[in-house]
Amino acid sequence: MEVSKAITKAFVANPERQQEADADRAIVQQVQAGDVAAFNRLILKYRERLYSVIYNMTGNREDTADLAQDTFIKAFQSINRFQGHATFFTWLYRIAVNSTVTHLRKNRLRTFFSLEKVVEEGKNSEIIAALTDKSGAERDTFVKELQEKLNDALQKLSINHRTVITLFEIDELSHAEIAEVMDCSVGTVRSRLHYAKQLLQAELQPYLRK
Amino acid sequence: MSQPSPDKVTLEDLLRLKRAERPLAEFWHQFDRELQAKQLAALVGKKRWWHSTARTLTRFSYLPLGATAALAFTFMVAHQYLSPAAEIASSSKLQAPAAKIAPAPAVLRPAVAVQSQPPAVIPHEKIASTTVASVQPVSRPAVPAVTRELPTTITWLADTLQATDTTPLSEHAMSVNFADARIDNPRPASNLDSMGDVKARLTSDPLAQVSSPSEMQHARLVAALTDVRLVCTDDPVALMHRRLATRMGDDGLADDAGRLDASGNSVSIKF
Repeated sequence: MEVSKAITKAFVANPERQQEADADRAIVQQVQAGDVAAFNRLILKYRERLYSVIYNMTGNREDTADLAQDTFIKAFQSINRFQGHATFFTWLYRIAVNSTVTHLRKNRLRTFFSLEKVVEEGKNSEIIAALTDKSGAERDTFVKELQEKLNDALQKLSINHRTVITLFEIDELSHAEIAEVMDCSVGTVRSRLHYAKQLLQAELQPYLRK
Repeated sequence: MSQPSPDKVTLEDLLRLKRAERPLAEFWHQFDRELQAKQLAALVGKKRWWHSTARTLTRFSYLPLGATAALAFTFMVAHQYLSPAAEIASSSKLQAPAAKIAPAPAVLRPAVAVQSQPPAVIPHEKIASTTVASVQPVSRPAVPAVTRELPTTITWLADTLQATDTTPLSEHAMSVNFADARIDNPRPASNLDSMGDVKARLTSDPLAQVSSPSEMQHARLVAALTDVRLVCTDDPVALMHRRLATRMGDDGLADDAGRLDASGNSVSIKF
């Protein structure tokens, strides 16, 4: 157990993440002891983040909801096998990413996208304002067009590159955490991230202003 | 994160917009309901049969399955090729006609009486059965007929068994018997041919008149054997040793050895 804690600490450099990991471990131990209701706290805590990762990988709301639910079901069913070698959230993310990758590979020919509405608040509004000076319906149209263009650019990436860019840029995981989730080396993560950014920049060039 | 300005929009800024694509609050109510229903379904859902099978298999995964399979295969091969009694028994079942034509002890002419009786034409069946019937005791009448179409290895084993059970008297009697036949007809092979004619006359079934290739081959083998027996005047033990030496020098033995091939950690057997 001490070894697993040491490994976990090595991956969780951020103190906030460390506290979060400890709290998760306590909840997981409750669930493993038979307190099934404690698992609902984990669902409430991670459902939005998990949804975001899956959504940006699939680009489809309905599939995302199903995959996120399946991820929680799988985690619940195999919670007794969770031994604490990794943090709970990386373990949960790994289940989600593996399920999503499997789903994408199965349905690679089916390309139907249904996008969520962009919530304009804070910095997002400033970015949109920087991109366009339009207002009203024209602004909404521009935002929708930009959203579709972003989604298209992401979908042009390979599954691995899309996963890396989603976990790093959108969900703000560290390189080490992504490496653990994707079961690869940190160098591979950096390489994939660099390549994915190059491709995205080429695709989104009209929207980038220097 | 860099602060966006009207003059500068980076890739990270654009990807930040993706973070803002979030479902509405109503969505999460429905999400929770569906998740709860799925959780309950997963709790009460019956486990499929392959789940327990997979668990059982993984429990015994430490068994060296390859070694077990190799051991079973070796046992089967050894059991098949190292038990001539089983082979003979199974072959005698398969060759029911041969068993029928195998003469009963009463049919066989006594060795002593043979010398006084004129050995007319010896039927094919009688020659075939006499070859070994004189060797084997009366209590084992099925064995002689079986030797007719046995594989080389089994024939060799049967011959060895015959040689060990052979008494000089029976060998001698058999030689005398065939010598009489040779005096009457110097070419036993022609006897066999004429035997075929007699058989054809006696049988009314047209299909029975057709001699099979195996019978012809058998006739040739018996003819060669009778030639050897008639010419031979040696001691039976010396004869047996000569026969063994001849068979061991045959191409068949080389062929049998050629079927085994050992390379590295594997032994292959060609069938």
